[in-house]
Amino acid sequence: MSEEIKNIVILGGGSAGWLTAGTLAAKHRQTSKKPYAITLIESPEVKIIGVGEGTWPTMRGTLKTMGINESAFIRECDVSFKQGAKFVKWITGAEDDFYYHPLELPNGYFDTNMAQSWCNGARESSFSSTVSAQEALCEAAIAPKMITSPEYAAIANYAYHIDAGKFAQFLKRHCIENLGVNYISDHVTHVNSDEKTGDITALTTKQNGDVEGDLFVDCSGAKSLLIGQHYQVPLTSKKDVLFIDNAIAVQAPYATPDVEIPPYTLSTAQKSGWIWDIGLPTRRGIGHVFSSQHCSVEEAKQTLIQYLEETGVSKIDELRFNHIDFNPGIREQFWVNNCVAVGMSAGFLEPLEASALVMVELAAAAISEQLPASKMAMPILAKQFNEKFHYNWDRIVDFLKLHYLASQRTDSQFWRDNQQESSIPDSLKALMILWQHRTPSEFDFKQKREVFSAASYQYVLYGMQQLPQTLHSTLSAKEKQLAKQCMDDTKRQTAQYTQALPTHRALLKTLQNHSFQAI
Amino acid sequence: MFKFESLDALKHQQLRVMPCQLMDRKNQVHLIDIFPAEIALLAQELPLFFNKDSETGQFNLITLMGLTIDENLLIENSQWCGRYLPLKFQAQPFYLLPAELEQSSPQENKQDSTLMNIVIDRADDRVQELSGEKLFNDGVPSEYLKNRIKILKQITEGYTELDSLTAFYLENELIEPLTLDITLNNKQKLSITGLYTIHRALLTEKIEQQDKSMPDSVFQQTQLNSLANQTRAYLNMAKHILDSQVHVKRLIELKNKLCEVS
Ligand SMILES: Cc1cc2nc3c(=O)[nH]c(=O)nc-3n(C[C@H](O)[C@H](O)[C@H](O)COP(=O)(O)OP(=O)(O)OC[C@H]3O[C@@H](n4cnc5c(N)ncnc54)[C@H](O)[C@@H]3O)c2cc1C
Repeated sequence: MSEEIKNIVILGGGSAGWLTAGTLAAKHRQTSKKPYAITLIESPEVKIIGVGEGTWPTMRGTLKTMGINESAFIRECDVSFKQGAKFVKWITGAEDDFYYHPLELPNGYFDTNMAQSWCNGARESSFSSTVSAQEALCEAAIAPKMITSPEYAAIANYAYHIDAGKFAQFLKRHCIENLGVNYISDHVTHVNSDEKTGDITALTTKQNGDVEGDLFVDCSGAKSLLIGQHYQVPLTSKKDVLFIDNAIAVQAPYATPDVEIPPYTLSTAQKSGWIWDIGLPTRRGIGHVFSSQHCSVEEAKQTLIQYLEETGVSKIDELRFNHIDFNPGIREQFWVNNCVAVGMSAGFLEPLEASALVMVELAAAAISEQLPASKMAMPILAKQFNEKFHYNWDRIVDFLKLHYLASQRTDSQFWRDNQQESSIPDSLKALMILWQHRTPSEFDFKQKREVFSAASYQYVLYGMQQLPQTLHSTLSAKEKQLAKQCMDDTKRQTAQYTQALPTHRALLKTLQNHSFQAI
Repeated sequence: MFKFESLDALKHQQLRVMPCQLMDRKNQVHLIDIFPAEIALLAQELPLFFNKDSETGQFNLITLMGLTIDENLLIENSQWCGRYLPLKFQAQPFYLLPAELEQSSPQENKQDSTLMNIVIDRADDRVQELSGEKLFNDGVPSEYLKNRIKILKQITEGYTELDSLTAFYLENELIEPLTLDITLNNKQKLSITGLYTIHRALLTEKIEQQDKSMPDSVFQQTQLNSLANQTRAYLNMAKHILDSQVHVKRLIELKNKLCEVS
């Protein structure tokens, strides 16, 4: 067997499979001699999970790299713009309690310490609205750009809300038609491996025989056929930290066809979990995620129904409720021999902050950028990859836990249990102590490309009114002056943007017939 | 504003229109759409750019006539002082509107002309009953009116030609954004954004490629001719658009003069 990596086989055609296929294939789109062939196998018997409607701004880069036309993507995947998340009732549970985690970095983020200035200042308005116009844009349901903005360019930073089913279909077509990905629709029944090395040699399918390859990407979803079942890599459960393990999802029509579409993910805390509410151009996607230790499925469904009623959904008995249970956890290893897991097969925590697809994008980019020409280098790469992604997953666990930990809610067992010492990772405990005396900073994190930057921690901590106990001013006169200037800039920007930018629905409507230009 | 009326031989039998060279208030605009057939002529005296339609995001070709919004430096004593008057000005006070949309703003010309209705803007200062060209003579459209209709038709065709032209430029990645930063003699700083022009280096490259690929056999020539001619024409137009930028200087001079006077 040759040591050269010539055939890459991807098992699974959900978002993870197609994003990986597209990212790998696009890498060599321009070169005439392709170094490797890419084949994706998808079972016609196993449906994709079909949820996952929230993304991160990284998706813009990912799609652009794949050579996708942004306007076509928006039209075909029923896309709306996401400028952040609005958390309702997460702080105290009071009716009017909300805060934003916008996607824009604070103005002046790299030049001064806006967080410190805000904490030590008068705090007349929320942290997020003091440092960015985005909260105001979201509240007014305004778009993050105009039809004259070039494709993928933002005026206010943005990601997307997508129809997960349409997204997989769209990527599939693009990968097959434009990127030369080979597609096999067949069910994999057996994994063949080399006795000596343990490397996978081929996947046996029902109709198409053995599909051979040099590198196998496991995108088989929660089943984790290769990493989990074949290599028996265990799943490290995170249920002791993040309690959410069930979801009931539903798609609901708008009350009237012309209501404003929120350009943010709405997350409303509940007694034993929270409800996501995502506005696509033609329908809403809503789901209650909850902890099965704290709440029964029936009770959770009732909570969801009540939410639907309160938010203007009629004919609820005609809606299809989709119950999904999952085990929040992460594989002990992601890359073993010549097999790497991407997507649900590598791990999944919970939908909070939409971190799953961004991990898929990061993994696909890492594989595509670093894929060696020969299997000889694979063990080294595997080690690097495993370390890097364990680090990433651990940071996500911390960041998600922060949302529960920073809450002042004690009105149910779920919220009280979230405060339990034993449920808090040591790394987060340390940071929480540190942040009693200083604002979150880039120094608190190791990597250049963190999934969630210090700015995200600032937005959540200060959004939830977790201010430092003692905070010395460390800013020079000049930095203080700059911080004040940035706050004034934010005010000006807010006035300007809310006036000049179209509403979210208006831009989506324009995009039905017109497109962004490439420049 | 505008007050549109569909043409009507009876209703409009006394109407006259003063020459379009005489400018109306609505000509106080700093830019106007132009069309491929006008590029060569206009590029001799005015700067040409692309900009984006604020409603659709699509590229339009425009000529710049002023340096701030609603300033037309080419108008002097209510007269157009350029050599060539852009078609969209020539057509005034006539417009093509979708049949049912007579009162709205002039979103004209962009659709199939057969579905369009010719209208006259009664709010245009040049429309009156005393002097100028008559629209109808004894109920029959005058030569003058026939010529205006011809111009409206050219405008409709112009938008179609423009679509092919911009599609060609975009495909070849020849369009690039540009900001004009201008300092006037009185130290006032102006910045004009939202303009696009032709990428010089890429155009040069493209022209060289085109010259090299001259077909050598007669057979190939006939096959490739029309396509190659089209490409050549588009590249020529691109050159004109690029070179027309020198005329921004003219606008600055006119503006400086204006500032001195006031
Ligand atoms: C409730 C919930 C909400 C979520 N919300 C978000 C969110 O807002 N944002 C976000 O980023 N992520 C979210 N996620 C996660 C997101 O849905 C997934 O990360 C994403 O869809 C990727 O899934 P996948 O491609 O790994 O798996 P799947 O979509 O399950 O795809 C598995 C693929 O493997 C194939 N397969 C399986 N077995 C075989 C076999 N034997 N032979 C051949 N093929 C086989 C299937 O046919 C299928 O194509 C959410 C998840 C849940 C559960």
